[in-house]
This record gives sequence, structure tokens and C-alpha cells, in this order.
Amino acid sequence: MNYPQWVIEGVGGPGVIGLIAVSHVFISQFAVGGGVFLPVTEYLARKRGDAEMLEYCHAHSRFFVILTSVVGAMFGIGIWFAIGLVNPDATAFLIRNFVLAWTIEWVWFFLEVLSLVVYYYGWKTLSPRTHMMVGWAYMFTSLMTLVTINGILTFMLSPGNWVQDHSFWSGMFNPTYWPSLMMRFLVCLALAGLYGLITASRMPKTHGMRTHMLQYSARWFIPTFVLMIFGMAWYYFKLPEAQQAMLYSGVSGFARGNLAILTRISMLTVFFTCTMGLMIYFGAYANPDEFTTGKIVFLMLSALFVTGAGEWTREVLRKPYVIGQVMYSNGVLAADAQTMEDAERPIVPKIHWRRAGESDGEAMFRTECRSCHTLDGYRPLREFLKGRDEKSILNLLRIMRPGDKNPYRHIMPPVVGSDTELASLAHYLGMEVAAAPASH
Amino acid sequence: MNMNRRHWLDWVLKGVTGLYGLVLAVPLVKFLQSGEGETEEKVSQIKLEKNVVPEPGTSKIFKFGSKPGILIRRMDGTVHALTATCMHLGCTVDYSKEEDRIACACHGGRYDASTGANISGPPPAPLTQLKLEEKADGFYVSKN
Amino acid sequence: MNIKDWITRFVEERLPVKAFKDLSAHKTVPEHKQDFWYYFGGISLFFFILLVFTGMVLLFQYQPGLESSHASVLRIVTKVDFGWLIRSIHSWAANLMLVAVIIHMFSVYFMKAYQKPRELTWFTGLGLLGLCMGLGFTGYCLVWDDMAFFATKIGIQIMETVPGGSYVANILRGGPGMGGLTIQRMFALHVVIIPWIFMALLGAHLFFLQIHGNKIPEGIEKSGKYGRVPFFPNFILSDLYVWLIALNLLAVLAALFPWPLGGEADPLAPAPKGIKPEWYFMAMFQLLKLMPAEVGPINGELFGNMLFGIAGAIWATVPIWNPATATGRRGKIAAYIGFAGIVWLISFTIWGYVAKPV
Repeated sequence: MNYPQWVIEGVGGPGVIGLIAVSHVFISQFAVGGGVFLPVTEYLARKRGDAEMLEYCHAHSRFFVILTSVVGAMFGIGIWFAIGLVNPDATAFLIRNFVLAWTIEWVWFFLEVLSLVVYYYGWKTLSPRTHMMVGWAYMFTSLMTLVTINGILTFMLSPGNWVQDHSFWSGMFNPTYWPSLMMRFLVCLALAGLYGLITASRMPKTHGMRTHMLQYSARWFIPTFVLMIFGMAWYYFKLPEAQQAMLYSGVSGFARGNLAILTRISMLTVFFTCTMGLMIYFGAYANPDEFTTGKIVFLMLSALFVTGAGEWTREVLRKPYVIGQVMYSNGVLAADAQTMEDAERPIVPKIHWRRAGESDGEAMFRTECRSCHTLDGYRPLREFLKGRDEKSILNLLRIMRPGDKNPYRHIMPPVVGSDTELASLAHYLGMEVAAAPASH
Repeated sequence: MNMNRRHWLDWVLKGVTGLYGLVLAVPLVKFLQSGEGETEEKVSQIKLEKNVVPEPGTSKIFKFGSKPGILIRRMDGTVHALTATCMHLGCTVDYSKEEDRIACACHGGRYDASTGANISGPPPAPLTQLKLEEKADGFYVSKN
Repeated sequence: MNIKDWITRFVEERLPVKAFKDLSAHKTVPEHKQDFWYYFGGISLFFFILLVFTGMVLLFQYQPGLESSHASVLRIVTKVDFGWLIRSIHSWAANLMLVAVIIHMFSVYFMKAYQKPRELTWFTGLGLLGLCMGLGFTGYCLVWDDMAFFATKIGIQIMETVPGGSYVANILRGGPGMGGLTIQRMFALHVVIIPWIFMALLGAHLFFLQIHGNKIPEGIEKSGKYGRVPFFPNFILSDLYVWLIALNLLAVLAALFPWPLGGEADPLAPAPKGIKPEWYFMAMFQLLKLMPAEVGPINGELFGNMLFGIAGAIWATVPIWNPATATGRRGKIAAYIGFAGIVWLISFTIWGYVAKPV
């Protein structure tokens, strides 16, 4: 409300953030995994005096320089760009409360890129001992980026004691911090193995090293396969109770527009962990000769999908908050919207950035609804409100006001605003719904 | 790698694969388990007409919730209500006028017609007595 | 004694295990740049196995009947735990299986894998395709929602235009109108009759494949640019890999796009607007729509059906008119017909979907 806001029709603001964020997570978790994979593999190769394996490491590290320091970083900046514009209030909140963490994160990231660059360009020039040291430094710094950012990400879902004591440390090490760290670390190892498979599969088939490196990379999936199922269970039991209940909402019934899809997508993450384990076993480990580029494409697609599904589950689990118990998805502070008296306070004067000629209703729609809904695209209001006139929309808005009677309180932020403001929002929505494009 | 360690790892992998199988089988089991109707109907009291047991030696089986109950006017004229599901294997019992007892036709179990105590045959436990109130307009049966 | 050894010995002493082992050890599958197409038969088989399994499970909850069909499906997708999942898997697997089967058929056609000695495999394969469509048609009817009702009604009606078709139509419907007996008969066809015939044909199809092995396309065979990989374990493992991909795809579709269910069928209600057949009948449906009421002396629908009959006969008899001994010209004609078939199937299907409802 205090900042201008970027309005995106179609995929919607969350859609844009999601697309950038999933790409970023996919690449940066691979970077962290690679930070472990490269030095460990180099260490093993040096211990065995295996020159071919060492050459593999060299070829493999080129991948990392391009992907993590260039593409990964670009997507990282993209996230800041998108969240700052789509949900400025929540972004400002996170910056204010975690200045220290962000600073630490950026220092680690800088060191990570630095050590990676030295690592890659030092393959021929540095002494084996120094090169190995740089490798370990790369591993340590890349792990630390995960350790730091994980605190902020999990804080948003389960702020835990922070709600009472507002202490930086209870925010960082919140209830889901450790299980989440474990799961993310396992994902990093798995992705490192997957990328190892890509490099290995491109070696000539007659080369004995190909089979060896394929089986070696495949083994990197073992910890993930074995421990992930327990990590998920741990995470589940650390979730706030309301979030646990949400995960059950889709066991029966398939109605659209509710959170049943959350159950389905979380089921898919378990399912894909299992099928990907089998794919790596049947494909790369047991049958390395037939493990071709075509097969890897599907493995990578599965990995990308399950990354997206996992992140999406975590994001939606947080509903109706963007920061658990503290701030609603639309930037309204939970403390400002608890009872009916809060609802009565006018909201329009708080919207500081207005478009020229914008009605009160439209401004309210932009600030209160747009962070999750669009008119015709993602979670489309024109479709959800189809067949309702202004009066029935107003009735619907009234039952969505703060308080325990609001049936949507577990999945949606309450609607705030005085009676007249609600009426103008209903008027605006009514007009938009009536003006629905005929082709639907 | 050490042979023993490899063997151990092999078992861990097999075990975890089995665990995934179990987790993924949950939807299937849940699906097959889903049935119709509520588990136990909550009935507190039902009313039976006076004329269902008009004279000594008559009885009437009635529906009490989802299970049967039996109303008996014994040879001595007293009226009793009990659950009618045999404690042995769940057959529905009946009142035997000749013996003045409750008899189960399936495996020959016998119960006392007033208290429901298991007298002879295979039943391991007595039938439960139901609370019976005789009012002017009929019998009122409820849980004890 | 070790229990595993004991079981192995028990079986080996009673069954010709060694003969099977030798057979599988020597069995190979060609490997070349077009071997990708070999997987589609296996994918079809995988979906079929899934369909049999989910179908059996659904039988524990589905209740056929005029009053109960729609109600029980509604109960499955709204009340039964994970009912939406099992039903969606069944519906999606059925559609994906048809996609796989159609791709499989065209790949076989263009590889000329129908030529001697594999003619019987081709004929049984076509039979299986027909049965697949039969299973799709009968299964679609069982949910008894408004779309299913009219799709079944129209489908059976089309049969009536063919001479003698009215007898078949009456048998399928259980009378002149659609009712409880229609559901009962579709149910019998869907869960007992067609599956049994399907199993027999499938057994024959796989048996013939086992005898002849996979066909190597002529050009590749002449150039000699192909290798051979052992069927066991290499090809089996590759097959399993592809099956897992198919399973992942199916899981995503079934979980994110649960199969919809319309309102209960009402024989007296007007047909729903924009009613369309299932996609695998769409190309035929669109062609039939183009037919004028009368073509010369005969009825338009009948003419359309005759056209399908002739085209189908030409397609099915390709091993006869384009045998391995035929000249290159025949082969070219066969290829043109194949392309025409693909173009017709794709263009008419798309046309059917974008065409304004009448």
C-alpha cells in the first residue's frame, strides 16, 4: 500500500515470481550441489591418481561457471525485481527484518563466485594442493549461501517464536528450518548427480570412463532417495497445525478453486522422488550403455517439475499469509485485520499510489486482490464471480471481512475497508464481470 | 567399496524402495476402504407399539440404530429388551418360547431372556440389556 | 538351506527354466537411429496394464444402473478417498494409450513392418486398435453424464445407417431407446467381453512379435548402420525407463487435470451445446458432418460410412497390395496413403475442435 505496484494480467504477479523463482532455485541448488560434487570428485580422482577422472572434473566445471555465476545470478536479480514490484510491502518487510542475513548471504555468494572462477581458471595453473583448497572453499561458501537463505525462506512459512520476541535468531532458526535445510541439501546432491550424468553421457561410448562416471554420478542420488522420504515426514510434523490440515484437504473431491490441488501436488513430489530414483537406477546405473541424451532430457524435465512442485507447495501452504501470522498475501498486516472494528477503518486513504482516473474500487482491487488474482488468467475473478451481480458480490465481500465467521479465513486474506469502500469495490468488480469477454 | 558395506547399502535401498511403495499404496488402500453409510448410527431412543408383544411367549426383533434389538414378553409376563446380535459370530438371535430363553440358531448359543447372560453354547459374553420404559402409549427403548 | 536357492531349484526341476533363459539370452533388439519408435508398442502395453488394474479397483466402487451409474461416479470423485485420482488415472491412461497405439500403428506402417512374414502381427494389431476404440466408446458411456449419453446415442445411431446396422444398434441399446439395459450391456462389453477378446488378441500379437523380432527399416538394413542390443537386460531396462516417463506424465495429468464429470444424463433434455465426440472419433465425426444429405442415389451418412469402410479396407489390406516383393511404385503409393492418413487425422481433428458448433 505504501509503494507502487506492478499489475500483471494473464499469468499474474505470483506467476511471474514463480517462473523466475523456480528457475533460480533449480540452478542455484544445482550450484550448491556442484559445490560439493566437484571438490569431492576431484579429491577422489587425485587420491586414485586417475587422470581421466580429473579431466572429467575439468570439463564438468565449465558448466558451473556459465550456469551458476551467469544464469543463476541473473535469475536471482530477477527475483528481487519481481517481488519488489509485485509485492513491495512484503519485500520491504523482509529487507528490514533480515538486513544482517541478506548481507551475509551476499558476502557468501560473492566468495562462492570468486572461488568458482579461481577454481575453473586455475585447473592448469594452480598447484594440485592449492587447487584442492580453492575447491573446498567453493564447497564451503556455496553451502553457506543455502544455510543463510534457508532461514529467510522458512521464516516466511513458520515464523515460530519470532511473532512474540521479534528476535532475529528465532526468525532464522524457526520450526521448519532444519527439516527444510535437510531437504534442500538432499535436492542439491541429487541435482549435482543429475548434471554429472549429463557430462558423463556425452563422453564417447567406447570410453570405459563413460560407464564408470555414469555409475559414479548415479550414486549421488542415493542419499536423496534414502533420506528424502524421512525429510518430508520431518518437515510435515514441524509444520503449523493449520498447514498440516491443509495438506489433507484434497484427499477426496476434485472441486476447482479450493486448495485440493495442494494435496495433489505434494503427492506428486513424493511420487517423483521415487520414480526418479528408479529412472536413475534402471537408466544410468544398471544400463549405462543405453543411457542417451534423449533419456536425460526426461530426467531433467522431471527434476525441473518436482522442483517447481515442491516450491509451489511451500508457497501455497503459506496461504493466507505471505509471512506466517504476520502479513497477509496482499501486504495487509495481520494485526490490522483481526476484528470487525479493523475492517471498519477506511483503507483507501492508505493507498498512496493511485493511477490517474482510477476509481476507489479499482485501487482496492489492485492492492487487495491483485497479488493473488487476475481478471482472466491465473485464479481468474471474472470466472469465479461469473453470474453474480454487484449486490451478490457485495454480499460475498461482506462475509470475507476479518473475524472468525469468515469461511475463507484459512486460505485467503480478509477483505478490509469500510462499508462504502466495499461497495465501490463491489461496483468495480460487478462492472468487470458484466463486461466479460463473450468468448469463454 | 567394502563388500559388507555394499551389502548393507543394498538392503537399505531395497527397504527404502519398499517404503516408497507403501506410501504410494496409501491412496489405493484408502480408496478401497471408502464405503457407504456412517460408521455407527447414533440412536438414543426408539418407541415400539404396545401390541408388538401382546401375550407371554412372544417377541419382536426391531432395528436399534444400525443393529438389531429384541423385545421379549417372557412366559411369566415380564418384558425385556436386549441387543440381538449373538456375541459368538454376529448372527441375529431369537426368542425360543419352548425354552423361555434366547437362542441363536447358528451354533446353538443360549442366553437368559431377562439378563442376557450367556448360559450355554459357544457365546463368550452376555447380550447387553437395553433400558426399557413401559408407558401408556408404548415401549421406550434406549441405551443403558 | 537358503530359501531363494530352494525356490529356484523347486521351479527349475519342474519347468523348462533353462530353455527360457537361453531364449532370452539370445534374443536381441536392433539399435539404430529410428529405434525410438519401437517403444510405443511397449508404452501401449504399459497403459493397458494400468487400465486393467485401475479398472478392477474402480469396480469396487462403481455401480452400473440407470439410477446408480452417475451417482456412483459422482460419489467416487467427490466422497471416496482418492477416488478422483483413481478415476483420473483410468481416464487419462485410456486416452494416452490410444495416442500411443495410433503412433505405434503409423510407425509400423511407415517402417513397412506389416510385410511378410509379419502380416499376422499387423492384422492382430489392427484388431487391437478396434477393440481399444470399443473400450473407449463403452467406457465413456458408463459415467452416464449428459455428454456420455449423447455421444453414445449418436455413436449407436450412426451404425443404423449401414444395412443391417439397426439389429446391432438394437442389441447394443437393449431396445429402440437408451436406458438401463444400455448401461448394463455397455458395462458387460467394457469389463468382460472386450477385455477377454483383447487379451487373446494381445497374446497372439506378442507371440508373433516374439517369433519375428523387430523390423529394421529397409534403408537402414541396406546401409548396415545398425547394431543389436541384448533384449535382456538392456532393452528391458530401457523399456522400464520409458514406462517410468509415461507414468510420470500420467501422474501429472491425473493430479493436475482431474477428469471432469458432467451433470446426470437426462434423455428428455436437449443435447448440450457444442457436444463433441472423444478426440479419437473426431476426425471421422468431422468428415461425416461434411456429407450432404444425399450423395447421388444414396444417403449421405451411408456414403460416409461406405467411404470409411473402403478406406479402412485399403489400410488394413496393405500387406496384400504392398507385399515385400512389390515394385518401388507400390511402396511409394503406400507412403502417400500413409501421409494422407496422418494429414487427414490431424487436420480433421483440429478442424473438429475449432469448428463452430452447429
